[in-house]
Amino acid sequence: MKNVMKIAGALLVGTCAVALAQSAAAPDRPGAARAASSDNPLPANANVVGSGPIVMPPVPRPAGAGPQRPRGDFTIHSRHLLYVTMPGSLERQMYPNGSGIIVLDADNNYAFVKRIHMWEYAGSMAAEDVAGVAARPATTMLYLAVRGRLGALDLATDKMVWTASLDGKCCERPQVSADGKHLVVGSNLQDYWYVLDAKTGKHIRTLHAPGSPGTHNLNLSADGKRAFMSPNGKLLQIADVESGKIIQKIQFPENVRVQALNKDSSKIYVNQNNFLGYMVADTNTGKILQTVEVTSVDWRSVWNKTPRPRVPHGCPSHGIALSPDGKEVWIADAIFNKIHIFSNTDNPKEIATIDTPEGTYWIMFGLDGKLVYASSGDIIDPVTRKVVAVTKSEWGTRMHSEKELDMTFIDGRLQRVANQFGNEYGDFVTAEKLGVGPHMPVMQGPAYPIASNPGVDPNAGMPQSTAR
Amino acid sequence: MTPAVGQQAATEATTPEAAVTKICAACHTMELVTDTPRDYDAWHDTVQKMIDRGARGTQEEFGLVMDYLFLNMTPVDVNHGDADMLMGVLHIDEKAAQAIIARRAVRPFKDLADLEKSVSGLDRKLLESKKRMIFFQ
Ligand code: HEC
Repeated sequence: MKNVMKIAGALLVGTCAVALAQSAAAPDRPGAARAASSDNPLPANANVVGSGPIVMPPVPRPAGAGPQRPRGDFTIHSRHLLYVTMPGSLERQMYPNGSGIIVLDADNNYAFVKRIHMWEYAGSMAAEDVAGVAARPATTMLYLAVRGRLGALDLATDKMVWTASLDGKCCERPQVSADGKHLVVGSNLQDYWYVLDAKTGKHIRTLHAPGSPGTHNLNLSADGKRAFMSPNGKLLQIADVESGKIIQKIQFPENVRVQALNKDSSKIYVNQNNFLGYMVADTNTGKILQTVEVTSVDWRSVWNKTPRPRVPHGCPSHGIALSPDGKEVWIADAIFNKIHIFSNTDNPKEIATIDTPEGTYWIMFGLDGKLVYASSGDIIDPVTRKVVAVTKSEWGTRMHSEKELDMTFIDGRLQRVANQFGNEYGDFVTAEKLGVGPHMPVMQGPAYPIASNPGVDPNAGMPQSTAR
Repeated sequence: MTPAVGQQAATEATTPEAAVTKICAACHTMELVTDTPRDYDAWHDTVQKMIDRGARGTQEEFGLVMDYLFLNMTPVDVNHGDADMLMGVLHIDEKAAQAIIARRAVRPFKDLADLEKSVSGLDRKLLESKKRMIFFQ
């Protein structure tokens, strides 16, 4: 009955119905009957009044159909969306998907929803590469870092709230504390990370890490108190966000690339240059605990050649993620275009391999660990290990992006967001209760008020850095 | 359960007219609403669609919007609608509605003229203004 109503509704309100009423020599009196014909699909009993709209008779109700008039019973539908940022892979300079944030509907096979333009670029200019993306329900904002600047987008309006270029040397991948107080983001290849107020973009302090030039990735402990600062270099440093003090250093044999944390941030899992595999270090002692190598493919004979083969990001594995329950470690393989999955135990074993022929250089687990987003555009079911969908732009072309966010909304309010880093966060219920990890408790009440002067840089006038 | 639909506005509308003006004219003109009478269930679907698009008010206000749409923008079949429907759409009392039901059981109404001459207590001006929403099937 509802369906019938919808069809009837569409017929009677569409402009074509109005046009029909105007073009047909409709008798100008109420209740006048018009014969249905092939070019007049309206039933004979439709009322036609001059050029006004056509009114359909009520649909007969079956006996005992219940109360005639439900009065309310309206709901605000939730939405599950994937935000894919472009250009989202350094390895795809000339690819055809333009710039901005492409929103896909996860409830509708990743159908295209819209494209958000953070910044406009002249047609003749290349858009800045996206360095990273984060979002938080506490501020209802999405934070997009590109080489040169950082912007905060109000997700309830898709309007830019603030923008920051800081000392002119920003930005790398940002992370935001669960309470929305701190946004920590790396400078662009310097040796320091900035701490900003995530709501206003105001610079609070700088986390200096001398000895770690080449600022690259940044991870936060679930409580937002410790920053894990990895340069594209061998010395990873851990800072206390509040005091800005370095509290631990971890020396790796090779440059640290992508990193992920276990649920209490006591262990860090990292990709290393010149190594297909990963290393695990103790973040409290700074000691390396495990070195896990992929042996299912003969990568050494391909890699250890002069000259070395060129692979994206220049390292065999650029992409690591712990499954949210901490049971598996997924790593990218840029030599053979695969994903290798290891059991996360004292004696890790490769338990599965997935082919991603388009090349995977970043791996993200979606909300509840239900799907995995590979930067190749492949969306993978972690249970069946099968590719179940592909991220495509409005032009139907595959999108490669290493910076995506899996989010849910109710009433336009951001409710939950998965992290771009593959951090473990324990069981979902506990994580939700604690308000830690990539998920946040359901937010209620009015959205955080957005700044009155959208897009303004709160740090304008900050002196340009002369460092390196 | 039915959560409050969106955020509470500063002043809550308390009449059907106020509610529909406040909520439904926020994005487009009221003509879009008043030009397209439709079945009550279809209104329900439409309002849900508008909520999906961002229409916001309290559950109470949306109840009033539905009242407005029922009283003013819902077609009725005089020969089949139940008493509630007749009372709401034709703005008549229970007695007049029962008179219509009794009469149509004997002989269905032919048209508006037939209705007007056979039943007392009708608001002719109102019926005239709503004539395209009144059906005799
Ligand atoms: C948040 C903005 C917004 C609000 C508030 C809103 N509408 Fe709409 N409405 C739209 C848009 C957008 C359309 C677009 C036309 C279309 O494609 O159907 C529309 C179209 C319509 C139409 C014509 C299309 C159809 O489905 O028949 C009707 C009728 C309508 N609205 C009724 C209402 C009513 C009743 C309310 C109050 C409950 C309301 N609108 C409140 C945005 C809104």
